[in-house]
Amino acid sequence: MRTLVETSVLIEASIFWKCTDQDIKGPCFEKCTGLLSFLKDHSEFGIITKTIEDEARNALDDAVGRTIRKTYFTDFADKVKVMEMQHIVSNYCLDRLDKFVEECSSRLPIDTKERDRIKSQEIEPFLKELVTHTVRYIQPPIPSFIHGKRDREELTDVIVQFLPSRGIVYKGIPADRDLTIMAEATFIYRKYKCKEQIYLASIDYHFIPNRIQIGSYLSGYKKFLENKLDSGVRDKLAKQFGFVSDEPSKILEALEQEIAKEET
Amino acid sequence: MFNYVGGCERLRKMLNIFLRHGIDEAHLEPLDDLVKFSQIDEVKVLNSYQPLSQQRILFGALRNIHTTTDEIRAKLKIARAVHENPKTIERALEMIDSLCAIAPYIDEFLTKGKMTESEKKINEFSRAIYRKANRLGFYPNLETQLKQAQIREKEVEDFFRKLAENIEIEVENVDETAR
Repeated sequence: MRTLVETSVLIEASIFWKCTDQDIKGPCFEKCTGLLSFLKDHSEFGIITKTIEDEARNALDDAVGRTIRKTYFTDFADKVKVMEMQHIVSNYCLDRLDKFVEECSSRLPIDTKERDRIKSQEIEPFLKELVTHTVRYIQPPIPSFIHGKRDREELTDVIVQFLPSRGIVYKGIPADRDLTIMAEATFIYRKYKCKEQIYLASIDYHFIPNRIQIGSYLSGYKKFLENKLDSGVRDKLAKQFGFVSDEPSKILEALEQEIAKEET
Repeated sequence: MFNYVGGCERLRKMLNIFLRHGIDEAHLEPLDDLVKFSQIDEVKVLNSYQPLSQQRILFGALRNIHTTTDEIRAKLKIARAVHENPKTIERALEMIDSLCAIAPYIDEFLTKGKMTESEKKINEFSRAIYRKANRLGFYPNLETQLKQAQIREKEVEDFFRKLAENIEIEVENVDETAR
């Protein structure tokens, strides 16, 4: 059983600032650090590839860049100060990232030619075909002559409950970097001759089961169904390519069960 | 205009002389120059017409040079007193190659006003200076850095909050359709 830690988990765990009142962290920070702490003690289970590490660095860098671009500099002295601050903060976050990479994983050799082949000839065509049958959110057919916002919302809620089939909810075709990571997970799975369970820990909805969202385009109504996930695309990927993507907390549970089983 | 390639070579020469004859605290001019001009050039870079992404990378590189050389100077000044004379020089000499690696790109930017090498590569060189300096004890800790830059805790917290929001967008954890 091996776990490929995806970029989003690494970045989420890298953003943390201890404050006197309330620590600053992302919404999935606890889940991500929980898994990484476990992998620190059992690094034989963790895998972080070079692509994932590089992508995490780039994403962190882009996020800092985006933060500066959104900052209004009142004067030049303010700009100097913000640049000094972003420099210090970037280094601090990258240090955390480096620590996770160093402590929580082993690195397997990846045949980049084979990985790129898997990506372009297997994963990409498979997903391109698959997303033609998926939806970003469920929109029941309500005639357009029903104009009232409230009526449309109520009708949407009621119809969704009784729909015989809802379609597969998926975020849409992933970015190239995500396809590369999926190809690497497939490569690792095949490297182990399909005998080892390969998990992919992520908080990116391109990998993990998607939250089910319903809505009505005409009234602008949208909401997530509570505690409902659509694992359609994830399951199809698992069946076809062997790797199972899930949230870090779910993978942590599976890893702990595996350890307990081994001990007994 | 200060030349960083030449400046780094003068520093290497000075350290080699110190290694043979001991530290002369009164003659640290190559270090003084690097500390002084890197700080001046930080401002120059931020005042240039280059895109913010390029300014950021060069600012980071100059900041790393400034902080590292400033720390080397401070350590050399007290090396004799704390009986770390050859050790400090040897460690400082270890830093030189990393400083030399980035110097041509800074010179190029300052003379031609543009970057020909990729931003990623310069970023990697800059990060290498930081990591090496940290490992060799030539980089102050986080608290000291914030104090030196006169950045208050509240300001860092605000920046971190915005960064945490942008990270959610970057990792695509936020579903755009939910917005």
